[in-house]
Amino acid sequence: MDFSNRRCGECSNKGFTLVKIHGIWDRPWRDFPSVYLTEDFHVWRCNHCQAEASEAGSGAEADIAIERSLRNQTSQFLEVIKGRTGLSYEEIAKRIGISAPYLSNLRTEKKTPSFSIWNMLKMSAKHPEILKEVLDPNYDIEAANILLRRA
Amino acid sequence: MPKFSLEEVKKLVQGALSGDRGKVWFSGKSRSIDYVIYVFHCSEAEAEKTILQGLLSLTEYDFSQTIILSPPPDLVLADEYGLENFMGHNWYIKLLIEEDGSDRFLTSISFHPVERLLMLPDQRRLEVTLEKSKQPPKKNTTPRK
Repeated sequence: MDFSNRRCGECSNKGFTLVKIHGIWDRPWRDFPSVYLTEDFHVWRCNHCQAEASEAGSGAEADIAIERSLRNQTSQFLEVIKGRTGLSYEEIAKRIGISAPYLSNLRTEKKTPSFSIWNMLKMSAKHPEILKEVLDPNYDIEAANILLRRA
Repeated sequence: MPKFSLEEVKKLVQGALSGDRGKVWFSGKSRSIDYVIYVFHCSEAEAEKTILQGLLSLTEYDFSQTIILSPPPDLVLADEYGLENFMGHNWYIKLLIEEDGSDRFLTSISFHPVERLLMLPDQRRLEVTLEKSKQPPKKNTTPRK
């Protein structure tokens, strides 16, 4: 359907263009403040003020693209983490604070993580030493000098 | 009296809920869909459904006033409503009905928790239910040069 002549609620002008979104999509979704789309998705964008608009029913399609992106990213983060740390998936699960079966579902893209889990895995993929050292349950937090006060 | 018949608004919403995608247009998503997602941490489809259900629950007593969106010669009017105690919040709603050829559709401009006290004609006071600190940051939509 062609919505190019619809009105923008932000600037009241008419005129939209269907644009492809890939990469950072700066709007909230569930507990994510913004999402990174690795699947192409198209949105209607105002020709005047760049605000986005959508028709009823497009939300479900947006959700599919977002969930596919997040699940694929999460699965890849886990693969990178395993490769870079040498830890087993069970140990990774333990250090992140999730169950092994849940991690398996994340690895096989059956579940979508929360923002905090996704963010933790993203950070660990980028800095595997954090997962290997800091998130080791035996990590000496006093020796690490990250407490403001000693008991 | 609202400019746009509430009966027709609801008919269009029902059309959208039945799968006719052209019947409701969420324009300016930052003041509707995104806001609902921010408040409830929900998905986009869930936010759409919340808004459509909210619109269906409006009554004539929720009507606040008709405002001018665009002055003449391209006069565009919209109706404002205040929806009390829907899903734990008081809501500000702004909408209009437009034409696309021979079809009519609902443009939903705003659907978000009231950001300041809203007085309705029947003297009801819709207080702010969402603390300012929990309101989403306002986005800067700039005109293309």
